[in-house]
Amino acid sequence: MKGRRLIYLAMIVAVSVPVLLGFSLPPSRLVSAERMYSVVDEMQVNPGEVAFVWLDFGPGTLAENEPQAQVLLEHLFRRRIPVVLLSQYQQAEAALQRIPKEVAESLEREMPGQRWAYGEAWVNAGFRPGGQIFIQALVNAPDLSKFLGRDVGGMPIAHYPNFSTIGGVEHVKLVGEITGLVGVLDNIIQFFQKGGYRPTLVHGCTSITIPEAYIFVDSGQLKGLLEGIAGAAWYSEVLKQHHPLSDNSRLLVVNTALSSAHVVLIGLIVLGNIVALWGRRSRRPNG
Amino acid sequence: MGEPLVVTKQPTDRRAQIIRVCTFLGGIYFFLYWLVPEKFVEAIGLTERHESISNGFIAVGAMAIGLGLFNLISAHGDRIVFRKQGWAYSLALLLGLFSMLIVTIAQWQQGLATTAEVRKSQVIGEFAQRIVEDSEKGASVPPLPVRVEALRRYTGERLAELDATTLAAGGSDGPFQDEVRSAASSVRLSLAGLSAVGGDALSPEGKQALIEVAKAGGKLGATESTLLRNRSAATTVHQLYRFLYDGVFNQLGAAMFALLGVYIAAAAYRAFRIRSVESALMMISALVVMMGQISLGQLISDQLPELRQWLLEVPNSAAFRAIRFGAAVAGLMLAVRMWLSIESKSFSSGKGQ
Amino acid sequence: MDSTTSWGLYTVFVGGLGTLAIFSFLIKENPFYRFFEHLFIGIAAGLGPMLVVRDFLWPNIIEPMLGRTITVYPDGTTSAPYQPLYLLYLVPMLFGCLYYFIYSRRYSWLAKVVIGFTLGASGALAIRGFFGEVIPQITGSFKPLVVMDQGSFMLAESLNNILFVVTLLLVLNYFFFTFGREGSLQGKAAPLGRPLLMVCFGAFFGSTVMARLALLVERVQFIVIDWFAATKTLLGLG
Repeated sequence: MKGRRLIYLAMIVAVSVPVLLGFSLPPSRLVSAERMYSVVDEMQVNPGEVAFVWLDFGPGTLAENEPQAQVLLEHLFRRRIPVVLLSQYQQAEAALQRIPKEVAESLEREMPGQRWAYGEAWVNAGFRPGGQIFIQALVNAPDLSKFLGRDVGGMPIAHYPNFSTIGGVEHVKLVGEITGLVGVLDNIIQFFQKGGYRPTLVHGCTSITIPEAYIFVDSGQLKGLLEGIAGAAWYSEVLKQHHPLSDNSRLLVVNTALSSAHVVLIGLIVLGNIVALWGRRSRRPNG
Repeated sequence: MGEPLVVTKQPTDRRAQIIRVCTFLGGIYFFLYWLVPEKFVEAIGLTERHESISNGFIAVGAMAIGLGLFNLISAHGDRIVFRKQGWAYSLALLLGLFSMLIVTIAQWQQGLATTAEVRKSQVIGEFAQRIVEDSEKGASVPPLPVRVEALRRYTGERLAELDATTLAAGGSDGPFQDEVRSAASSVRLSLAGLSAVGGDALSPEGKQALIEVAKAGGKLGATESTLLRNRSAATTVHQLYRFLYDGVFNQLGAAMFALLGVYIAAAAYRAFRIRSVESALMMISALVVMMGQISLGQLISDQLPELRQWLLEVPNSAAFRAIRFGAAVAGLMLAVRMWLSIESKSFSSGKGQ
Repeated sequence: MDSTTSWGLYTVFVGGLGTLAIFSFLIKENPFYRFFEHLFIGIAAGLGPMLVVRDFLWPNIIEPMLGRTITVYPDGTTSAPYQPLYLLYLVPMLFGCLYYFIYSRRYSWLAKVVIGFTLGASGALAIRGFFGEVIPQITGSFKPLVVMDQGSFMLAESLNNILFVVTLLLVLNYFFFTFGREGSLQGKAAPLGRPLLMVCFGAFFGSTVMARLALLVERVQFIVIDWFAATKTLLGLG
């Protein structure tokens, strides 16, 4: 019991030190995040076309999914691609409201005189229950602005000029799914398709689902992947290379704390094996 | 000679049949919508109705929202009333439940009131746009001068109301108020152009003037919405909602899951041991993935992230895909059996019948 | 969270207090932990149903039924005529109310009718979803074992594809229990799938570690930076 508490303490100290010192190391280069950056950066978007970004996460996976949502939205906002935000998960409400607002404010601070206003840069269509049933109805709707109806504030989405003429699902140029939940990415992969239309789908996943997400990258169903905090950190680094004023310092500190915790955990695994080996040797009868 | 054997259907059989038929009917619509060619679906007018039908399906499930509430209230209410062990915790649970219910309802009502207020301004732009569309379509509506006069009168009244209420209040939202004032001035200016709309037919100048009103009205609605939402964010109801949602719900949820961060370390120390070739392979794979995704791995060698990438893309993807195929085929079989009520005796019969 | 206002400060403070209460479980279970645990469940249970009403039932079902989505313009005309067909929404709503018969001993079978209906819809959608998801996976598995690029042989890509296909087949074979295992080639090859699965599970463990630790980092960051600052301000030390 005492030993277990020592392990807990070691982990908390390992995480706290970089956070307290504000110390950061460059993130690991993740190719999948780089590919996703290229997909978003090279996407051709005409007037009337939009990106749909699903934020399907609550407090349980906020730690990993929030930085992913931030970097993806920052990139889309920089490119002035109108974003429709929505969720299949009721606990995502706070994220839907707070994250785009914070990203817009950060960009406005970086570029005084420019604005990323609600209704122009993004709309929040809120929590939409029904999962598969909702998505299959959405892709079959002839006019997405009308189908989505009102935003969370009760305003008709069609009322905002950038979102008034979306039309059918063919005008959704990018679909982003940021989630740590089981099944919600499957809902998009299975049902967000109509006739010959397949979306350019990018995915921000929690680390626990990385191995599973790779099978969709291999099959081409996913065009880009952000792998946990590490993926978001590398994406933010690529953003910074292209936009030097982009501020990713807090994310890099988090990523460094994560590295520090990894090192302690690897050390614990090695120690555990040494102790076990030592125990086996000492139990072995002499001669 | 014994009594002739008479086979009668038990009520339980009939009920089981009803359940089976309903289970089948629940799936047939979506199945056919998928199978039937799109052109046929359009021809029978189902495309326009599909959204409403889908909403109907969601509504069936949505009606179950009270089940959880009812269960929690009855179970924990019982513990409080009869002072059973842990009743104080049940009280905390019900306190949280009712506080959240009440505050969410209050915040929702506040949102509805704000929306209704903003709608009054939005109508200006929408109505102007509608006049143009109706004139072009030749719809049977009141004569153009009557409609334009109604628009002018309504807009004047609304702008006066805005000045007297929304814009009269002081506060820290000066920049937002300025935006609404500027939008209101644009609406006033655009109204002046309505004198170009004369006669029963809509002239190009008249159309342009109405479009200007529509644009200015739209801007007014948007700016007023931002102002009122900013104001409602400062109300006690909203702050209470944020307190419960951000301060308690979000933080506790995140903390519960964060416990796993230390548990996995303890578990790794105690259980992740090399005992065979297979466990060694698992260990190597885990170490490569862990080192490849952290800053330190990159500092040790540039090859580590690449090795991790290869491991995830090639052997991991192949093995996981095989697992996924198995799960998907099993899922398909389960779905078919579920839909057609094959081997669902445990579901369609029982005590309750 | 906005910690510049007094409401914001208290929100952060209580959030930190709750986090510490939950973390106190690491020492041992205690009343402080159990109180916040129950509070969390209560708030989650209160929030969920209200969001379904606020974000779905009200705007998508009840408002159209009541004709509240129709705007009356200043000249008395309307944005759209009232659609009496929306009243048909009462049918699924009443049907959905059958769920509540689960509390009746005599009529609980009626709840099974609506549960069956919902399961039927999910089943049919799952059949459709299977094809949407799995077909590209199957076609994506047919990889060329000899990769040529502009006439030249690509050794690394070819080896990767061979490894991919072999791994896929061996792991599929490992899970194949239906017939003819013992003595057959298929049965002999089955154990080869195990080590490959272990590589996959290792990757899974490595990824899980990052997921779990990320949650811990976020909480520690909140306590160390946001909560300490808010507490100092509230105590008049900052």
